[in-house]
Amino acid sequence: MSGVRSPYSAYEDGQPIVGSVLVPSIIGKTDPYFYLVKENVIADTMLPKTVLAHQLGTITVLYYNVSTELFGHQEQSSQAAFSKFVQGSESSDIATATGSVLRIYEIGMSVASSDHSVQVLNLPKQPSQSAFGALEELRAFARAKEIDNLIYKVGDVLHAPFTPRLVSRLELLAAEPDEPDEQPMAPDSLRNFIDFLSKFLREVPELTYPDIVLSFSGNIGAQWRKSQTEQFFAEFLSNGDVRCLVFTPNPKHPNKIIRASVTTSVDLLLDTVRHFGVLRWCRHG
Amino acid sequence: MDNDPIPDINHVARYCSFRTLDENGNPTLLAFELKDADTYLSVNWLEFFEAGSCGAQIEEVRQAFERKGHSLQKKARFAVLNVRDVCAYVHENTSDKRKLEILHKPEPLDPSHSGVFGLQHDSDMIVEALLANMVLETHPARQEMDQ
Repeated sequence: MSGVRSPYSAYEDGQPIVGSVLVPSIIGKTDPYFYLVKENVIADTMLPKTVLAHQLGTITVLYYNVSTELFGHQEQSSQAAFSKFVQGSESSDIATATGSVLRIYEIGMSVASSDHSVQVLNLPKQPSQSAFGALEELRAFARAKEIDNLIYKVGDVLHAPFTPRLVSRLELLAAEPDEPDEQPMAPDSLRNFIDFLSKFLREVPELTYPDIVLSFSGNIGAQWRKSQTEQFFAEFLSNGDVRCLVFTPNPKHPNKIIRASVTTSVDLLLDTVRHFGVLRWCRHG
Repeated sequence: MDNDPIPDINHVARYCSFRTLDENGNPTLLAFELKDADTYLSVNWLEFFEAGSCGAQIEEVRQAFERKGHSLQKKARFAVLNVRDVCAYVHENTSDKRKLEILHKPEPLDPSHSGVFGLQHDSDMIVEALLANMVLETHPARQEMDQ
């Protein structure tokens, strides 16, 4: 494979590798890891989150499953990887979660359309080799993979007309935070949200699409908002609790609004909001 | 002056991260969540600037953010609130008749910086939702989105 030389060389046993192409994971981000690509050969530097091999017109994405086996790997078809990340028109718009294969997708498109001419931008600096940094990176990678798996699961367990839209929204929010004081999406929060939504959909199959947002601490927030006076918002915490808000008309005094904010457990949330009549207006029709 | 109340008829703008906006770009209550380390909600006083239109005032705020080294997200937005309306609405619609105060908290690089005081940590979703209800308009965090 011919490639663009990097101002930062790829290293193997401390020596730069001639003829390799360095691929940064995220344009515009400082990423302590980088990827090494050689013709039909998969090699890696240090503890990579993702390595990839280019073949004619296709990409095979390999990733390390650090949560179960540090140096094992699983293969994922290029099609599956592509289908998850085709969104946005600029690199800065697209998911930038640690371990994301999105950057690979962009490189892959370049390869496919320009006969192996790969343009490499904003190469990361040589990675820090501190054990602490590596541990943090591994944790971040494990979290990102867990998020990926959970989002993938959404398509399997939630059978609603809005499921594809929900998956796209979650993928967008799963990107690394842009603000310095924001935490990435919390896997346990996402899991609690999926469990709740699954239960909600069983009870209300015609449920309307919720607005999905993230708190500073990375918790999933889901909002059903029909009007200023008909709102149901739930923030799913990682410990199984939910902070919940309901604005709903008072059935006995139509000119008054019931406003309630409670913290409950996720398994009681539906019962909690049922009393407020939320199930009446957060559905189609 | 530090801690001066913002005049009732004036407006403030709150920077809302992309993650806290719904898919239509409207701020949800999480855009008004008080961070653990904060004692007030940061906003910018728009009429502090002599620039006439709201859009021009927002541009001044953008420049202040940039001076402070705050990289503005492409999809983030500034939410505009009226001081008097917000304080009255929250007071009328909270069981504890909450009195919010919006005070000038100028910073060297951000002279219009101000704060909404009176929110509590963890237990103030109702006030946060009321603030979201009172958003008059939003503006892109980055100017090019205006065009």
